[in-house]
Amino acid sequence: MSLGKVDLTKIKPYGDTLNDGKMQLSFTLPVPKGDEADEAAKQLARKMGLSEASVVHSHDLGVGYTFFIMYGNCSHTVDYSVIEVPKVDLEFMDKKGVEQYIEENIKRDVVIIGACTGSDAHTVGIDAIMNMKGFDGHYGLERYKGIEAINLGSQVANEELVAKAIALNADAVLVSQVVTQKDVHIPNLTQLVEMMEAEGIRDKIILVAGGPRLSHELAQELGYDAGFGPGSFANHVATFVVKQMVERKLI
Amino acid sequence: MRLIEELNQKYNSVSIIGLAKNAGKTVTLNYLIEEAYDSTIKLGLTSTGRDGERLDLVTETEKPTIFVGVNTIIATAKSILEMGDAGLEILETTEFTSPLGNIVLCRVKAEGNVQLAGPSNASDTLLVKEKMIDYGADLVLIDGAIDRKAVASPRITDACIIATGAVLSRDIKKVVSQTAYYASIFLLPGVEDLELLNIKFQLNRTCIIDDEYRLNYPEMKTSLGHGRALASMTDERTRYIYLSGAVTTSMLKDLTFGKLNYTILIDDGTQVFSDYYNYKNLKKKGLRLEVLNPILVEAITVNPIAPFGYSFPSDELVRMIEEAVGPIKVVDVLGGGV
Repeated sequence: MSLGKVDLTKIKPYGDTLNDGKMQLSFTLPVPKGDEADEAAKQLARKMGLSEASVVHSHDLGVGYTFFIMYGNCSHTVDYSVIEVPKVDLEFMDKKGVEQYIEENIKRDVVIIGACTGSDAHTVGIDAIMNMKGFDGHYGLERYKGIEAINLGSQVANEELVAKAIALNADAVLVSQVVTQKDVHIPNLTQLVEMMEAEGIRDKIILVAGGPRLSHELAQELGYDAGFGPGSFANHVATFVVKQMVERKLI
Repeated sequence: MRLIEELNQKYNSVSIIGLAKNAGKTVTLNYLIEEAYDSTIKLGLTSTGRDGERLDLVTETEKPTIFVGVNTIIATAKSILEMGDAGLEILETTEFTSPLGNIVLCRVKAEGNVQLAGPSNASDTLLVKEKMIDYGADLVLIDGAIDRKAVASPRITDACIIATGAVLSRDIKKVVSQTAYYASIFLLPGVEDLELLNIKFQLNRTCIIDDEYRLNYPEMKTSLGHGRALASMTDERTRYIYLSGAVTTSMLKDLTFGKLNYTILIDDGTQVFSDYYNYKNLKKKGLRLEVLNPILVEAITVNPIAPFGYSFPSDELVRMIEEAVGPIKVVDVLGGGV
C-alpha cells in the first residue's frame, strides 16, 4: 500500500490507491432480477457520478424486486479543509468526574428522564445511555452516584413524557429517535418542545435529543439544548446536563 | 399600504409561524425585509431555529439567504457570526445559550447576508426581543422554526403571520382545511364575560370556576394526563375550566361529555395540541374553547410550491384559503403583490 500526499481540499474515496475513488454501494430496485435490472443499476450508478460501475452481486428479493451490490469509481471530490461541524463544545468528564461535580456543585440528586418517543420502538440508543451496563465499556446513567435515571422505554407519547417530567421534577429529559419514516421524527420532536413551552417548564429543563440523524446543529432548529449523534456515551450526556444546570442556575 | 408599514404602525414585534417545514417562513421574512429596505423602519431580526444557511439540515433542499440593510439589529449565535458577509458591530454578548453558542446582538454596519439562530426557548426570545427594541429596533421580526409555534403567544410577540403552503398535503383541499384549522386555533375567541375578566389575573394555575366565580384548585402538579380527574370535579354549577398548560386532544376528549355547561378557558392558542379531525368532532359535541389573550393574526402567507416537486395554482390556493379563514389578508409571497 502506497501512501501519497493527501490534498485535503480535494478528497475522494480510497480503494487500492489514493484518489482512485473506489466505493461500494448497495440498494434495491423495484424490478425483477435479470440483465435489464443490472443495466438499470449501472445506469443509475453512472448518473450518480460513478465511472466503471459494475454489479458484483444481485439477488431476487422475491416480490419482483432486486437487491444490488455495486462497485464504482467516484468522480467527485470534497473540500475537507473548510468543513465546520458544530458540536457540543465541552471537556467531557468521566463517570467519576461527573459524580464529583454533582457532589461539589449541585449537592443533590439530578433527575434525568429518558424515552424513545412517538412511534419509535428502537430503544438501543436510549438504553446505551441510561441502562446500568451502558455500552462499549461506558456505564450508563443508572449507575452514576448522584443521578436518578428513569428510562420510560419506547413509544412514549409526548404528553406522557411531559407529565412524568413535571411529576418527578426532572432536571433533564433525553429523547431518542432512531428509526422513523418520512422524517416524522421532526414534528414529533418539535411537538415535545412546544408542549413543554405550554406547560411553562421549557426553560427549567435541560432538553437533549439523540439518535443517528440528530446533529447538534439540528438541535438548534428543533428547540433542544443539545443533539448527540452516534458515538456518544453516558458521560458525554451527563457532562452536558450537569454543566448546563450550573451555567443556567437550575440547581 | 405595504404590509411592513402596517405592521410597524401597529406593533413592536411580529412572529412568523410555519404550519410545517418548508411552508415558506424565511421567504415571508425576506419579503418583509425587502419591503423595509427602502423605508426608514429599523428592523430587529432573530430566529428560534436557523435561517440563512444554504442547505436545509433535514431535506437538503436549498434555503433562501437573508440579506439585511444597514442599521438592522440582529440576534444570532456566536459560532455562526462569521458565516455571513454583512459588516457587523457587536453590541452585546448575552448570557442566553443555544446549541450554536451564546446569543450575540449586532448592528449591521455594511449590508450583506447574515445567518440567524437565536435563543431556542420562548422566554429567552422574549428578553432578546426587548433588548433589540432597547438598541433602537422599531419592529422586531421573529422567525419560527419548523412548525414551532410558542413565540406566537401574545406573551412573547404582539402579532403573528402564519406561513402555510403546498408542503402540507398533495391535496389542495387538505392544505386549505389544515390551514383553516390552525388559523381557527390561533384565532380562538377572547372570553367576553366581564365578571370573569375581573378575576383574570388570579388565574395562574389550572382551576374550576363555578357560577359565582369561585375558584376550585385541583390537587395536581399538571393537568396533563388528568383530564378524567378534572372532569369528575365538575358539576352543574361549573361555568369554566381554566387550563394553564398544554391542551391535548385526549384532554379535550376527557372534558367534552354530557350536556356541557362549561367553557374551557386557556391563555392563548399556542397551548392547543390537537388536529383538524378530532377538533372538528369535539366542536360538534359542543366543545367551547375561549382564550384570555387572543392572538392577532395579521396575515397568512402562502407558498404554492412544495419542495418535493408539486405545486398548486397560486390564485386558486389563495382564494380558497381566503374563503376558509375569513377577513385575514392572504398573500402569495412568491408571486408577490398584496
